[in-house]
Amino acid sequence: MRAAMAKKAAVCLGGMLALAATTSPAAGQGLMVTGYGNMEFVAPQGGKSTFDAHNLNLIVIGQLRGDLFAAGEIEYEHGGEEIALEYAYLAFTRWKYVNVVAGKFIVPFGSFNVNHPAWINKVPGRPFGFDRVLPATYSDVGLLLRGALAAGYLSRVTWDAWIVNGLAGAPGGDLRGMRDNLLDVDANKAVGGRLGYVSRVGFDLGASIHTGTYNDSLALDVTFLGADATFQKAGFEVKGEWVQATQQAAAGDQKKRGYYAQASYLLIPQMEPTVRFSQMEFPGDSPRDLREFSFGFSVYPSDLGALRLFYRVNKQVTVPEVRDNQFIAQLTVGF
Amino acid sequence: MSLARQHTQQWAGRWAVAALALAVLVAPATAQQKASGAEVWSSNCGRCHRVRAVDAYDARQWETVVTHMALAARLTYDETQAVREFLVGSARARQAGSAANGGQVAASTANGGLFIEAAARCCDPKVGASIFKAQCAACHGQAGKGDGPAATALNPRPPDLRAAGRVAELPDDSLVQVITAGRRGMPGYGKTLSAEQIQEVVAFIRTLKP
Repeated sequence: MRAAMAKKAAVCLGGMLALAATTSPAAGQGLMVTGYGNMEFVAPQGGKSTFDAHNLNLIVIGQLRGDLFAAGEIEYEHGGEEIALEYAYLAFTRWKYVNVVAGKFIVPFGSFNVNHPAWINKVPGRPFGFDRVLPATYSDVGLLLRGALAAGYLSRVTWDAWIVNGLAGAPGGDLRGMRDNLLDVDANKAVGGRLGYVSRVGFDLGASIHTGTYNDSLALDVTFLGADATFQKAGFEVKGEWVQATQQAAAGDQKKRGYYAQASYLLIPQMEPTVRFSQMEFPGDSPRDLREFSFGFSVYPSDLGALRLFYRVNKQVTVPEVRDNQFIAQLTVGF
Repeated sequence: MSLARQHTQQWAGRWAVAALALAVLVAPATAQQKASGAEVWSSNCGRCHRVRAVDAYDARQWETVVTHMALAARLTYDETQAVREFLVGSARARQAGSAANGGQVAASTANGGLFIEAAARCCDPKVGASIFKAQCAACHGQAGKGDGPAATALNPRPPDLRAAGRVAELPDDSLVQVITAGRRGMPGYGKTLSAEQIQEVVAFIRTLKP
């Protein structure tokens, strides 16, 4: 009942925002609608192939007045089966060294959690570890401070610090199911930060931390540590990210890890081959320890969209003969 | 205090020390040079997504998009201002050019009068070279080969300004018009550069050799 009402509200809100942004006097205040969407055809090795209207996300952004900025994203996933508010925040951008963001925002931990949209992410699907370890896309409600300091010509040190409601769930439970603690179930808040360095020569480096109590009754914490790095030069890009979650449980601490490495090269402005390796590891020899190797290429008919054709090799780490390979064709657009 | 909390505090302490050390090391360089908006645009906007053409939005839309993206990319305040001036300014120049004469900036307009006046006391290719480096090299490359850092993701790619039969055969007035109002994805610089500066850029382009 509650989910159905939320769905109706989201549909109405999406329509109203889109209408307001394009037709009302607000359009004259810099309010505009952008967004992204992607459609996929997935053919798994051991299952049935399917078309999937994976998502259509409408983003409303507005330079409201002076230094006040607003943004909201409503996502319609799998043909409208899932509807959610990914983020909705107000940002105050007056000060030179700090911007203030309040509301529901994507927690800027690492790189992939923020850069997950299909039209940006060069390989279809999430890398392993960035759904079950770091529960991407992880957005939360709270306060974010962020800023940057010039560090030489075209280079900068960046920083983010946030306090949010945090994850909440059962002892030792799946971290992905602990999101959506939108009205905090306890008084404990989670805090985190990211320190980054962006270099003119093409490096983008970052280290992140996020920690909080996920089960108040047993005083159980979960702490994420992460590192991310990207290098770009003349159409070549290589990037990688590592995340570790230390989750307290009745039986002791559980360490969960995920990491990926990805390389791509823009052969011509319209074509970019890409490969990605990712893996996630859980305590013990878990059947959830999975490894991925994806390869394929993107074709860019314009700067708005891409057609991606990829083959993804998925297998268990401990039992490599257990596979679930996939062919994925993805049409994605950012507008 | 739990083990995880202690671990967290140790990491936070190390990162804070590292950040301070980095800031002390690099801070002296910050005041020396300021990057142009074109350089900030070409150096940053392609890091996460394909570079959106400068004529993709009008001036008002660029105002909003720049704030959104500057927040996401964690640009510094000065970088944000520079890229805003570049993108919003070029959109205004384009819009002004369209309003003036169907996309062409005619020599008979008020701006054209300035160009003629500027041409009479112009132009130093060395001055043009420094303007070119700051405003044009991001796409056209330092030597005008069309191989700047932003060029790989642009479609169409910036032309080789040294090539015979293209720029070489265009009269100065046409080059001034293109630089002022923009053309095929190239931003207009009529709101960013003065008439004299544009003439100096043209003078520099004339010196480029294959």
